[in-house]
Amino acid sequence: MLSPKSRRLVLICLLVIGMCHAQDIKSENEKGNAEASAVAAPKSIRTRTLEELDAKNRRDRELSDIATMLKTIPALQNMEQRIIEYLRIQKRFGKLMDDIKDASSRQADIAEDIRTSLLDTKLTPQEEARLHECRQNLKSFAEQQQLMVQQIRLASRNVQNSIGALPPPPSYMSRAGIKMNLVGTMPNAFYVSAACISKDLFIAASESLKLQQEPNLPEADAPYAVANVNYYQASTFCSWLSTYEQAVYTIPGKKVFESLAQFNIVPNEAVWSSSEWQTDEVGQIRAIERFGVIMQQVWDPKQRLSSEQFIGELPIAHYESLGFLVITPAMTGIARRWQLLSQQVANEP
Amino acid sequence: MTLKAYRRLYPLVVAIIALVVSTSIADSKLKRRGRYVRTDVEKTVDKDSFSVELSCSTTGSLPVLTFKGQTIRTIHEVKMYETIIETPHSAAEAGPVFREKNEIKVIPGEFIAGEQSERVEIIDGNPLPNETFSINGVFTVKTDNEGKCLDKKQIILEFMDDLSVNSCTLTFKHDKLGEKEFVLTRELLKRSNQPRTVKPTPDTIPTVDILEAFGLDFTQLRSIGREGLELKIDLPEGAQPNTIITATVTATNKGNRTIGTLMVRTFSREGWLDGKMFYFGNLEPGKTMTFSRQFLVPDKAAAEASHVAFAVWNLLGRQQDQLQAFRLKRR
Repeated sequence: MLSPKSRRLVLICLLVIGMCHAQDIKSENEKGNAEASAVAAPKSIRTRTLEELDAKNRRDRELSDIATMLKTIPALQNMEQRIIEYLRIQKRFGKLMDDIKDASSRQADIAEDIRTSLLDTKLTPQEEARLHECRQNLKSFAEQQQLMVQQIRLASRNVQNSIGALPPPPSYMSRAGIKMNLVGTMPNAFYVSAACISKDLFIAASESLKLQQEPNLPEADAPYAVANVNYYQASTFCSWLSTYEQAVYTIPGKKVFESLAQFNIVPNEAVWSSSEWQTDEVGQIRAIERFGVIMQQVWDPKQRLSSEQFIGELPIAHYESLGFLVITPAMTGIARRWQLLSQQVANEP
Repeated sequence: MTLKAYRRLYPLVVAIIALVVSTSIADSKLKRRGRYVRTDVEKTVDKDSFSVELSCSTTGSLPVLTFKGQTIRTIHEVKMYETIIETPHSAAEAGPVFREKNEIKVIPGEFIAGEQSERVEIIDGNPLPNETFSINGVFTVKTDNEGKCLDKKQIILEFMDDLSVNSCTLTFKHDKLGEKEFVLTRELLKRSNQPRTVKPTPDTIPTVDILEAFGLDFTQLRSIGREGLELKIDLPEGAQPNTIITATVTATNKGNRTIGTLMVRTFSREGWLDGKMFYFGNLEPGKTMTFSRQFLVPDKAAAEASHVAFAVWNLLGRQQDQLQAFRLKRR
């Protein structure tokens, strides 16, 4: 049996031993961490470099996949489907470019880490060699990415040209709900409204202009009545429509009517023309010139207002059977199709 | 008388006849025409005719044709001259010595007839009440109790609605009184105050300026303006087929300068509304003038309404800010 004094001495020794052991464990941990960090820096760079290689290979496969896809698109019959596929490819090009940009940023970070690591004098020759190897790989990646960017840009331009070479759609629905039909062939093609502008749409446009707010557009299947408007009102509508659609819409003139007649496109009602009325009667010509009166031409193919196809009417006149059509260049249809399909593709996951 | 006696007297008779004839031949050779004395009327031929005068009604801008009887008198005249005779001078006569062999003496009371001529006189008569006349063989008018005819349809104005026409000839015809021509003019840009209306003479066709007949002054002025013109147009809202509607334009000069040569014209797609002229002429400051025109609404109409614009022109040119347009509903 130990004496209390001895017991005290033993306890103190045990305590000292315990404290020394704890100190050893702590220093062991610290040493281990230091060793681990000294090993993780070259390792993480290597790993990151390998990851960059994987990413590069993925991008190569993606580009190759896109190239294969591009070859199949011209075989598609549906023009809209072609455009959708082109737009999807453009989207993939965009993602690739973003990937390359992100990769360049990451690789710049890796290069900086390599440079910092190389400053460590405690690096082993093996680790140093590994770091140099990583740096060389990064350089190679950067060159290849530069090349890929050029390839993508060229391919994207070609895709753009392919979309531009496609014919305009035979018809489209404008933002205001007007169905527009293509007339003629490029480069002289244009769009004309399928029917006279409806009364409801005209009223919606007038209110929109008056209240300076978005129009309350009529439903597509609403009962239809021709806008009973004079020439000035029809012109104002065209100005509003051009602003609303972000494209040029105008009232057709005599030459357009002659084209429409050639294509057997004849409205049921009489329609306003943007051309001034020209008469052969010398007396009338002189009177119009003398008194400064403008008579606007009206195309009346079904002879709703008179027995002539082309008549002159005062611009302030309005009749139930007198309406107006609108026309727009072919580019409007092309742009509208592009806008709608771009939105569709952009909303895809 | 016996045959024997006759045979004896026969040479004497022949001698006497020969003497008379020779004497008269001698006489005629000597008698000549002298100075002009007078003009005698051989005969007078009267022909009934008529005259036409144009004026304007006090309201409504309606032309008024006044028909009056007229006598066209043709006077056949002949000029009478003195008869003079030449006789040889006698040797025993005292007095101056004449170189001529003969002397000339006037035979008193004896005259020789000369040239014949005709002279036409126009004698105005009384108005012709309740008579029917045709104009250009197309329109028929009938006079009232005062011989006047109110042109309610403004046919006379319609003849001059075409501004390229400055004059036209109207032929008035009556069953019994015959035909009469009448030149209607419209001098829009007069350069002087001299009247254009020409009174008829037997040799000329009467000429009437329609603007003068309406009492309008279209003389060009040096200093004119156009500010202050106020136009008021009265037109019914609707037009029933086969009726006549009236458009009245009232022009007021609220400016301080005369508005020169003011005119208004209608413009429309429909022929019955198009091309009607409203005349005002020179409109002085503060003055108001009105002019009305009639429009016959046709039976058939292609549309549910008609549109018409009233456009203004004055000496300074067109005045587009004064243009007014209207919509006539079909009733």
